[in-house]
Amino acid sequence: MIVLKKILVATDFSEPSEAALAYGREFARTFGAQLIVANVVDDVLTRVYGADGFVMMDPDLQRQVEAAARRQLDVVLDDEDRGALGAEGVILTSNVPASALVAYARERGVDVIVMGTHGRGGVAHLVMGSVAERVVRTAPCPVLTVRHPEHEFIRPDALVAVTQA
Amino acid sequence: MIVLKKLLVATDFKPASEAALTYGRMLARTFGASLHVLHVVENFFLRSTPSDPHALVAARTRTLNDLLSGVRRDTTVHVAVTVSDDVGDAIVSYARANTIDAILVGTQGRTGWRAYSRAASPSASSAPRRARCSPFTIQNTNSLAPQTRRARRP
Repeated sequence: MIVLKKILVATDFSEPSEAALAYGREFARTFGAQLIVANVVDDVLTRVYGADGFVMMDPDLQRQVEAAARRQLDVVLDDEDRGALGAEGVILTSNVPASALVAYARERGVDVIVMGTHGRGGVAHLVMGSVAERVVRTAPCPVLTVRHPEHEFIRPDALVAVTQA
Repeated sequence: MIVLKKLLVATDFKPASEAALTYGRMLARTFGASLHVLHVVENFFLRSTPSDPHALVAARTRTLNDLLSGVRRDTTVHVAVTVSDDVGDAIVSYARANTIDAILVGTQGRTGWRAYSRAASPSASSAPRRARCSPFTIQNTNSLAPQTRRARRP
């Protein structure tokens, strides 16, 4: 018997993340699970910028970055999410988003992770890798990777109706 | 509104695939979807093989049907066995041809160099990245088959 009680949606506020959130909501509704939406922000104090190794020394900057992400999360999650789905917005701070998400999923006992993917292929994929792919390979639970919703809102009936017209 | 009417489970009969099948069955029941189960046999054309390739395909089809006999009780199941050099490509082609809504793939959860060395070969794990027709895939079902996890070296 598979039980889904906690669904973690990882978001970077991009279009694929919006699609992932739509799936997360649907799964949470269907399985009566809690929805957790997480965004990973850079740890600006430990990150080294540029070839000269420039390091941020302003602790306020980290707070500003996290506050900005929190505001975006508040926009993404509506009252229905918070009420019916018990949705919770979480800000994680790390320079390695995949590790942060996997550690958080393990800590909270998440049953499934839902995340968007840009679906890069070829050289771009080899050079840049994929946060989603790293999460898939290391997560303690199943991972749903959602691509751009080109298929999502096309219902077969609508397609037939257009063809017949 | 998200529509999940056709789910595809790609299986190589390994424990991770069994876990993907368990998950697929649960999702199919929950969403009232039909379940497509695909097995890709390596293309033996012009290669020495220990047995007749046609017999191998027939045997795998029988294995798949036996495996799914219990699933058929509560879910509409479509079984397919195909021959291809590129497993990922075969899965994506099947998904496109059958307007699949979701692909479920079990993965071994490789990391580091093992993942990169494996990425060079055509594998089922590459299907999610290439499957433009499917909105999502489920991977890393290892957690559903804990007995398959290998102990880490100290």
